[in-house]
Formats: sequence, C-alpha cells, structure tokens
Amino acid sequence: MALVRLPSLHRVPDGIEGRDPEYIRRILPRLWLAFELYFRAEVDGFEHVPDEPVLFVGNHSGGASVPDTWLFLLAYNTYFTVEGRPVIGLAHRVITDTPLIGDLARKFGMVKAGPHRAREVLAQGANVLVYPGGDVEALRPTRDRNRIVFDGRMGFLKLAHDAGVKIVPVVATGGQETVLILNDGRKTAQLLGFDRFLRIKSVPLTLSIPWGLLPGGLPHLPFPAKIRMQVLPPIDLQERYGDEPDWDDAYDYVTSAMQVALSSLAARTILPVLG
Amino acid sequence: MATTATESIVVRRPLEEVAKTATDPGVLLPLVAGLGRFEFIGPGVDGAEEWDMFLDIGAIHVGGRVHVVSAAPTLRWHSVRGTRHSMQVEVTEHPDGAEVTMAMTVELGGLVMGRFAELLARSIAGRHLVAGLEQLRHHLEFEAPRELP
Repeated sequence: MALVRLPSLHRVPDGIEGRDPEYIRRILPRLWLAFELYFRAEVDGFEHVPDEPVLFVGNHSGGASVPDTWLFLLAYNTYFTVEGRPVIGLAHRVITDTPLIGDLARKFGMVKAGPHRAREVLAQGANVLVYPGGDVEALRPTRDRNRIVFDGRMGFLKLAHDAGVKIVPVVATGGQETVLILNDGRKTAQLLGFDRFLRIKSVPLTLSIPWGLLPGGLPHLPFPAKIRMQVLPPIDLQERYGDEPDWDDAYDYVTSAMQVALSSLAARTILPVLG
Repeated sequence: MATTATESIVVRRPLEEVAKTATDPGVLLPLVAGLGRFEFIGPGVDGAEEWDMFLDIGAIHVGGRVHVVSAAPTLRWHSVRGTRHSMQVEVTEHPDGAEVTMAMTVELGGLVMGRFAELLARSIAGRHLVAGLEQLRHHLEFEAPRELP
C-alpha cells in the first residue's frame, strides 16, 4: 500500500462511466494524423479478437509517454468503432492522478490499475487492457527494448482465469526508441524508497526532450520512432491449463509466445528509430 | 570484407533433443526464415542438402541458394547463389539444458558504402537470428512432442 497519496484533482469519473465515446470520436482524426505522420504507425491482427470480453495483455514502452498505449487505443477504437465493445486500459496512478493528463486518459477509457477494477469492467462486458510489466517495463533499459519484461508479475493470469476470459496478447516495437534509457532503475527506486511510498519501481537515468538527462521518467516529447504493433491469437487459460493452472507454466507460456512475436516484429526493423 | 552477427539462446530441454531439432534443416530453416521464404531444392553430395532461403528485409530479399551440411550438434551452410553468406549453428551444454548459438557471416561488395551496408546488415541479421532462435526455443519448450526418457 502506498503511503503517499497524490491529490485528486480530476473531474472525470475513474471507471467505465468516465469513457467518453463522443470525445474519442472527436479526437480520433487528430490522433490518427499525429501517429501516422510522426510514428509511421502500423497495427495488425485485430481479426484475432473474439466477440466476447477479453483481457488484452501488452508490452508497453517509452517511459511515461507510452506512445504505444495511445496507439493501441486509437487503433482499437477505429477498428471496432467507438460504439462497439469498449476497451478499458488499466494505467499507473502516475498517469491517472496527473491533472489534465489523468482526465484525458479517463475520457479515452483508462482507469487506475487494480484487479477489482478489471473484474468490474470485464463483468460490465468491456475488454480490458493491461500492461503487467508496469513502470519496470516502460522504463527498461534501451538495450532491452525488444524484450518482454513482466518482472514475474502473474496477476493478469489469475484475473483472466478467474473471470473466465481469454488473453489476447499484443506486442509492439519502437516505443522504447522514443526515449533513451541508460540503465535498470529498480535498485535506485528501492534506495530512494519510491517503491514503498509511490509504487514507482524503477528510477533509471533517461535522456529525453525537453528534460535532457534525468533520473526517472517524466512525460516527454517522444523521438519520432516507427512503431509496429501486432495483436496475437487468443490464449484460453481454462482450455490449456484447466481449473488449477500451474501459474509458473502459464506465465512462461504467455511470455514466451509474446517474446517470439516481439522478436519477429523487431526483425522487420531496418534501422532503429527510422523503422 | 565480411561481417558476422552472433546470437545465442538457452533452451530448457535436453542437449540431444535440442541438437536433433536445431541441426535438422527441415525444421530449422523454416524457423530462421520465418520472415521470408524457403524451399527445399534437393539432396546434394555427401549427404548435404540444397535449399533456397531468403529473408525479407524492407524492399529487398536477401539470401539465395544455400548448401547445408548437418552433423549434430552443428549445422553449417554457405551460399552457392545470391547474397554471399555463411551460417553456423552450434548446440552446446548449458546448466539449464542446452545453448544454441547462431553465427551468420555476410559479405558485401564496395568500400565505404560496402562497409556501411555491412554495418546495417549485421544488426539486421542479428535481429533475424534472435527471432529465429526465439522461435526455435518456443517450438522446443512448448510445441514439440516430448521425447520419452
């Protein structure tokens, strides 16, 4: 439990009721233009998504700006339309509690991360998007940009299994080329007590615009790296592992399948950043 | 001039099982060339095989006909047509099972631009090797039928 609570300044409700389809419809053309021109974005594989509530499990990158998260929400809302089954993303409190950005995120369908929130949303018939690696993954070193880093977190498996929904993995490359991250910041976060007080598990040295060299990751202007994203076929934990899964086996399988897809996607890169 | 990309991966399966799969061209080439195209041409001399193997890299197809010689725990090939390159796959023991190492050497013509192209080719080849190794690992750890002890 975090001991320090950030002030709640947001006006948009934190839940599925906070998602604003009309707002999304209005902002989609602008986001589409920005992502196509700036990131030369490519998203494939939505045909794999079944017509039932699912748990999207992704790898995300790019420090606090996480452009691939925004890209996924943009692509999903155009493929399935804003009136279709909503997708609700679970976000770190650093995002949802930040004034203005938090409201923007909630209107776009983000809620503060937590297993009970995900269960509620799935029960309401929506799809849920989670990034198990959290800030450890989004702030992993640039040298690990094409690695799945879930840091051993298995809550997403239990969530999908208990809720009886399939996991739809989503992998993306390019996001970690929008910022330069020089080291693994987990030890620094522990030394500073950030992991206990703010639930921030990683404080690496980063190089970004406009901050320059900075310990930790603040929202920044991303480098214009090409982002590729692939939605993979669903994984049914109940079918594959039965009523009492070996969670370690299930974790190894899901992360392995995602790593294979991520490495294959990365192999399409000719030159980092340029794509 | 030539440049070599080398990548390794640990596979949590017994050495013999890994070596058998990693040095079987019929299994390995489709995995390594998963992002391109491949075709078995026919048996060569001395038990070797000939394959056509191309990687799709942007707008071009890199590869050609390769002459493959397999003798577990190693596999080697060299090009006889197309992009001049060679490949070596070696499987060694590892405390967690087996380690597979792939080394691809590419030869490109030219001086300054040739050097620059080789620099790019090395990182591109490295990412393809990683992708192939990950597919091989996943295949062996999760998809291939387990051999009885």
